[in-house]
Amino acid sequence: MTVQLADDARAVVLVAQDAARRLGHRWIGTEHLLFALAATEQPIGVLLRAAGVEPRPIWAGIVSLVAVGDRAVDWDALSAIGIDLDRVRAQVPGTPGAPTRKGRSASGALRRRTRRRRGHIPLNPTARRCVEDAGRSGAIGSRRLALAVVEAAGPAARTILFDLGVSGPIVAALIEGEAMG
Amino acid sequence: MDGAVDVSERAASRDPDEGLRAVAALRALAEQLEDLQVANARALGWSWQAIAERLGVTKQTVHRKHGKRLGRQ
Repeated sequence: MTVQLADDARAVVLVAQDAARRLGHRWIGTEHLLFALAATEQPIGVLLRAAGVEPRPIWAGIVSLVAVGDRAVDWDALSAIGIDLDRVRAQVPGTPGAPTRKGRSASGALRRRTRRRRGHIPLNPTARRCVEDAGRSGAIGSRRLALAVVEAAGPAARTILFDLGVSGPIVAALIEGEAMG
Repeated sequence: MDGAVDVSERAASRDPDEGLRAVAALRALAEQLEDLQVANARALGWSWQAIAERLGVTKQTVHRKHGKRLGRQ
């Protein structure tokens, strides 16, 4: 399925790809999209930051939840075969990203592990579905992409939002309200 | 949502793209869990031999993989 990305959404996906590359990840997941949306100077970025969805803690959340480099876990991909992030975290204390553990220094972790990956990095299935869902009614702008990511959030983005203390549905309502007003 | 996996998502894993990605992600998760569990066992005073038996590998393998990270005593 080919979807038409508007320029603003395309810019967001490129930033998400760059984030994935800097972290040494082989996929662009909902976590990278969430980071890119929160970091953008576009109106959607301003709205998200005002709602407490800040890029720095998202980045730290990705590092501690997903980890960096070759041992990074694509939680969205695991959810496709029924492995649930929340259950793993609940049953294995000290699991990367478990609530009890403080995130490691992002820069330190990057220095230790990152191997730069070049070229195109594909969207993982959950992120791709977000883009496709957003595209159902025509070209996708950043706002619609944000709505899809926040609403349909894969386990990675959902958990990061939860750890930020941010409610996905409330943010989604804010985005929708803004769109109408 | 509560982590309940949508049936359509399970079916979708017949898609090689999802299936292969899940395999790669499982491998990465297993590595993360191994790091964690080996460190925990060492902290509780387990011998390399005892850890290796549980993992089904030789003592040398565990030691080579984790010894440096956890200190080779």
